[in-house]
Amino acid sequence: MEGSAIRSQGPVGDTRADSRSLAELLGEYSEAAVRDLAQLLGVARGGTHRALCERVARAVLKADRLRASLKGLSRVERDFLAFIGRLGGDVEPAQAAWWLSYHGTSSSLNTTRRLIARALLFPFLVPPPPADPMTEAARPHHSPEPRLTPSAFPGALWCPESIRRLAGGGALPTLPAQPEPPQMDRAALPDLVRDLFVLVRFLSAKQPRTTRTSRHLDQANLAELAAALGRPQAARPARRLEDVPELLWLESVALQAGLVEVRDRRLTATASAEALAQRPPIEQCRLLLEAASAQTGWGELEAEEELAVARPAALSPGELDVPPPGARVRARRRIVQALTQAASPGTWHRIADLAEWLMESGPDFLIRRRLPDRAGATEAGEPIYRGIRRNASGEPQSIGMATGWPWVEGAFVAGFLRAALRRVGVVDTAGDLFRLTDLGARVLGLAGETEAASEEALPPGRFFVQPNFEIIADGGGDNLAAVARLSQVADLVSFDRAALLKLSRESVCRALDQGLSSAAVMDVLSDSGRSPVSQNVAFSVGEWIAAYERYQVWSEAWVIEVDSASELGSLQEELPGCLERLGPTAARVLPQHRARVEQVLTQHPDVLAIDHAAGLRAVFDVDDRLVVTPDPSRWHWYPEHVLSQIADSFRGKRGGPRYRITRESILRALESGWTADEIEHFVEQCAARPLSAAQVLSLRGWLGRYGPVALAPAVLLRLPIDSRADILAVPELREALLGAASPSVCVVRCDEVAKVRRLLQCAGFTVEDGLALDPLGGPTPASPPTQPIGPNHAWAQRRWRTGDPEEARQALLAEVVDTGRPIAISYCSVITGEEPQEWVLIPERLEDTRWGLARLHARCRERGERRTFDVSRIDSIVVLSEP
Amino acid sequence: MIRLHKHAAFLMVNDRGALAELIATQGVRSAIGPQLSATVAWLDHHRLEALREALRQAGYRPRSRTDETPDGGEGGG
Repeated sequence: MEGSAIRSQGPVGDTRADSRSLAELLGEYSEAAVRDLAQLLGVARGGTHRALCERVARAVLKADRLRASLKGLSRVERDFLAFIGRLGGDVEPAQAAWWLSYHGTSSSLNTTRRLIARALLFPFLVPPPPADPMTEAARPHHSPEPRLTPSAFPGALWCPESIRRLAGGGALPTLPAQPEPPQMDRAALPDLVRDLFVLVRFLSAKQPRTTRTSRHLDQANLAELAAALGRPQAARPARRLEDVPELLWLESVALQAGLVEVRDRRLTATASAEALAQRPPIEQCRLLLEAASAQTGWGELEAEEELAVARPAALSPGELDVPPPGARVRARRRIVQALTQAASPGTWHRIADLAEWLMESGPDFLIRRRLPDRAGATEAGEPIYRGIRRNASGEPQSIGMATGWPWVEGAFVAGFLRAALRRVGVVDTAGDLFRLTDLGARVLGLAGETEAASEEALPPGRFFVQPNFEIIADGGGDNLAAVARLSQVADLVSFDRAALLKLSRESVCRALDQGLSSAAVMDVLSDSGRSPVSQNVAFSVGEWIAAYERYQVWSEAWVIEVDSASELGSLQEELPGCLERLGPTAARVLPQHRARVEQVLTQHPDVLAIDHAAGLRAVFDVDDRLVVTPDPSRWHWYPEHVLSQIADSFRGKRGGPRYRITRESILRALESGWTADEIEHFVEQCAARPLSAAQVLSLRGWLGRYGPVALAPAVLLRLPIDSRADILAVPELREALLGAASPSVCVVRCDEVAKVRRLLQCAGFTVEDGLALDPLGGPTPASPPTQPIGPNHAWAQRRWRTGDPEEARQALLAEVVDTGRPIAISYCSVITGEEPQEWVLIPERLEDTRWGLARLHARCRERGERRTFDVSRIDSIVVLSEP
Repeated sequence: MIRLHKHAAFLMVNDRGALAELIATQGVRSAIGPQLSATVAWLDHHRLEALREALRQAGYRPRSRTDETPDGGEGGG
């Protein structure tokens, strides 16, 4: 690269003239050195070699010569050099032109040219990237190089550090103080936290859906939210979401702060949302300030009444000066940073001064500066903001980028201060004035904020716990922390000017589930001992906590099981501090020592690891008679325990334990509380092989999966197929038939054979005998008794009635007492006036009194009460078939 | 033989009578496994919810504790 890298472009003006004047002025310096410097500058545009450039500049530029050059500069020119210094030494042509125009320079071009001519500014281009050989080959040799337009000027003006130091300038002064205004809008952090508290409650209760295209609630839900927040004017359904900017802002802050999240298009509160109201104000302020700064919208500008901001849809992105989301976030952070550098805590300042201060500290604050282009320019030749106009007079009026700073960027600063920063508690505002609050100063690190501040004692809550377990609290923003604390242990019933909460066993247990200690629960209710709780409430809460602590269900634990207590003792000696004994042969592995225990156990010869998350697999074998043989290598106490409940145990030929699943053992297990599903699932899951069809049939039959079946004597009627429909259409015949065995055979009830025969003969059929079947043998009975089979067939239809032998009643009762079968009795009580009453009982014992009267002690199944019945007053007994 | 049960579940009570009371309760009994001691009983990992529901129906409100926190050892439920 030759010295031709030095070019003057854009605002610098005519290339040949500038090159000539530059060459003349730099003639006194070593021409070769300047050329080298220019080359370095071209390379160092990215900033990697910036320090090297500065060193070279120091060596080349002589101080006495520079002083002479600086002597004749105007105030604006000196400020301009200081401005470049604040930007780090480089300024883009558009930025330079904009700054000079803003400060009333008649010709920014001439000013720049003069500074370059005095060797106080150095224009440079970034070397173009190496040409693509293919493109180079395709381009004709006579084709000129692409001409650089001013707006596409890829270089900058550089003011070396040695010049900047001599020119003066440096840090901007702090903002001037203003008199205190008579009225102000105070910082409103408690109100914002209260709104977020209500929002979180609203979302938790309703879990509303967002719109299809955004993370915001739809209009109907926004209206409900507005009503919940106590904003009736916003509760009316808006035509567009943009019409409720305050609610959208609140929602966005909650999302940004991680208080709510979108899950399956539903807006739901996160775990941290509950804790926000209880955090100290300084932490709330920090969190919400960060969330408000990180908003991607730019509602501050759109809220400005004297501006008309074109919606993105109205213009294509290239025609609209909409700052990208990242620029909006950076701009807000610069405002916050400017407050720390320019504002004094507790002192009133003008917002316009802050905007001016921001302008001086860097031009590309919100919208990037441009050179005049096709979008248009003002009469003075400055570029205009695209898509942003003033409409205070009703007539659209373009705003120039230089003179329009207070209208656009200034409006953004004012909007951010008056809305977001005031709501999060950083500033108070009054018209065009603002001041940093104490809280704001502490958050920004301007006051002596210490760690102790975050641990400051919570203010006393304003509430009282009533003896009827209701809690009434002040619903004001400054009492919100107390309400939030209370809502952890009680259910929030309503929340308005006063909050009503209800204390219950469930709410207290929920608080304990969330990790609150029992002492903390009482602490919340008594407001750290400042407000005594009535005796009955304290007693009940204490009882609830004791009952809660009484039973603990542990899950996801590691438990070691051994065969003997001595074995466990030696294991504990081998692994000191790693095991917590649960019983003589069982110990829990402490979570922090799991890896060590596992490592030590690998050295033991006989260790079986069982992962219960995977379920029990192939623990035993089941033969055709449903006899269970455990697999010793997989056997442990749980399948052993279950089998002991659902099967009968016995010793096998080799002495090992075996189990036989029988109808009785299944009935016993069902009575003890096992469900059919659980038993079937356990056997199928633990069996080494899939159960055969016969095994499944038996098991399911005993489990009562199938309804009762009956075998009954019947007669088969064979009939011509074409007559079937006509025969079945006769009601008398249809009633006499039990159903169809096949298309040409029907089943006739035995007691209806004569009737069927008569009806068929009357209809002209020739009825032949020959298909009568009597599988039970003997003559066909008139009313054949049904003999149900199935899980309970031995018990079904066992009954006793008045008139049957007395011994049969005693025998039946003795039998059901022994087996515990439920019975239904008809009983004539003295109290009910001899009217028989039906009872369903679980018999427990029979008692003979010394007067010779027998009494039945039983438990009423419906009422769960124990009763005594005089056996002689029992009119009938039916043994129930269900377990 | 040493058996190491992973993802195990158990019920711990703070007095002897409590477990006996629970085992005597209809509907809860079957959800409780073998007793490891007078105050600890084994639970089926896959029937925890059924147990919790049975306990709730019987008027109990047990504390749920998970033992998977590697650092605390006292993982709250």
